[in-house]
Amino acid sequence: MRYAYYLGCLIPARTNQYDLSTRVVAKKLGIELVDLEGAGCCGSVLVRSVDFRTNLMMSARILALAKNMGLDLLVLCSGCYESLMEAENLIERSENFREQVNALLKSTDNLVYGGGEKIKHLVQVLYDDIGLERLRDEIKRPLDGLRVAVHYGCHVLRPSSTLKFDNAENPKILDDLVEITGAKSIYWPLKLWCCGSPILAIDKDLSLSIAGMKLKSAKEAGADCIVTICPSCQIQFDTLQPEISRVTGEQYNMPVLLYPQLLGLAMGFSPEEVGLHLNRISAESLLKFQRKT
Amino acid sequence: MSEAVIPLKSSEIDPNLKFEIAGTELGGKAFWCIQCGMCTSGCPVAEFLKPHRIVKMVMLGLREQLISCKEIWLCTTCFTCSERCPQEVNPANIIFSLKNMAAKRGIIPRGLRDIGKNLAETGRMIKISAVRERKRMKLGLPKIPQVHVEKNRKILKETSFIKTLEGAKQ
Repeated sequence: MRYAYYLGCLIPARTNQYDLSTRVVAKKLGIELVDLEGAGCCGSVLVRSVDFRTNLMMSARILALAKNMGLDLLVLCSGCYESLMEAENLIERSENFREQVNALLKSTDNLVYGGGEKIKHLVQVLYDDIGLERLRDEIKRPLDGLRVAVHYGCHVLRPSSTLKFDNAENPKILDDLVEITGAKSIYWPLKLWCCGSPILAIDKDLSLSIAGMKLKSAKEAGADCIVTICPSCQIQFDTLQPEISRVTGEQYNMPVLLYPQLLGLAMGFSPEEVGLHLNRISAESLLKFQRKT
Repeated sequence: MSEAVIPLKSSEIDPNLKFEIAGTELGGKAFWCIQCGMCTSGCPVAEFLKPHRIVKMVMLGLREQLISCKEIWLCTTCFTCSERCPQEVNPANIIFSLKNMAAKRGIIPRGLRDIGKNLAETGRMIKISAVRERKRMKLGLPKIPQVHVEKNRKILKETSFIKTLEGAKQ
């Protein structure tokens, strides 16, 4: 199983534990990751706010580079996933945009957008291509009874007409993946809410207060930690948790794991191997749930 | 957007606005809106930004008010409104269109201008320092893939992104 591996900006800049834990887990599962060279930023919703065409052109170039390698594209960042899917969707439904993309790609990389490559989020590869059965076989040290507040993040779920990831109002892919580690996915009222991250650069206090409401909701529901699959959401809940406390006046002490960190621990990797020490809020309290070998 | 009732002048109304927005590739059909409020009921920033009101203002053609209001920039792009709209109006994309129009007029929040500058310089939203690179090496991670900065900049230029950015009021 080989994929073109696209990291985007936030992961190498801020959340290397996502990359690290994905690589150790992927290696054990026989997933080969080939770094996508030459690709820049996908643009994301931030560039879309200024000029949607710029955003989707940037994403289209990444699709063409992956296609040129003859591989499906594996992404970790939900922001990238959403942008790439939007670009693919627009190229398919608008001949006008497709022509513009091809004219531009010819001048930058001498490439033509051919389509056909698949864009997959890491959790889709784990769920669809590896499968729960196979993953279950790899669980060596389950975290029995760990109560997890699963946070999907907006940009894998919505708009579901374009992303086709899961049922946007009642998703289960990530819940299932969390539960094979022995943990329990708990009900929490604000589960499907936005973390507020996309407006961090525009209105910081508002952005952080939204995250604060979510942390409070998870804490009140009795969560031991939050598990997410988006670097923006992870930074928002984890790196910025002390700042959220400053805005809301509340303390949360809520560890926030990226899914491959949790999976890696359950597969028997050490906390260092999955980069737990790179998380800002200590996740040491979770290790007591790990079954002894 | 003021709460007060302000009489509209016909000179301030642009009946083409809703068609102009619907005609872009982002789409968004304000004229299908039945003002049910489903969008606003799920909006995480509804205290400040009410999608059904934005859509109504588009219907009324209040172009200038919409472009200059700061609330459109508070959209978190969570797409809950577009997901739940029973009329397929797509408020989130309408708000993207309004932001794009505002940007063309020189209105871009400072935080986004800074990100835009990073993009033009490095091809990435966030600059990655040499210290970060070394930290990755220590973790045993491979080198960060190179970005074709010039090729990226060409996309930014050809789509007028750089021009829009430079036209933004400081």
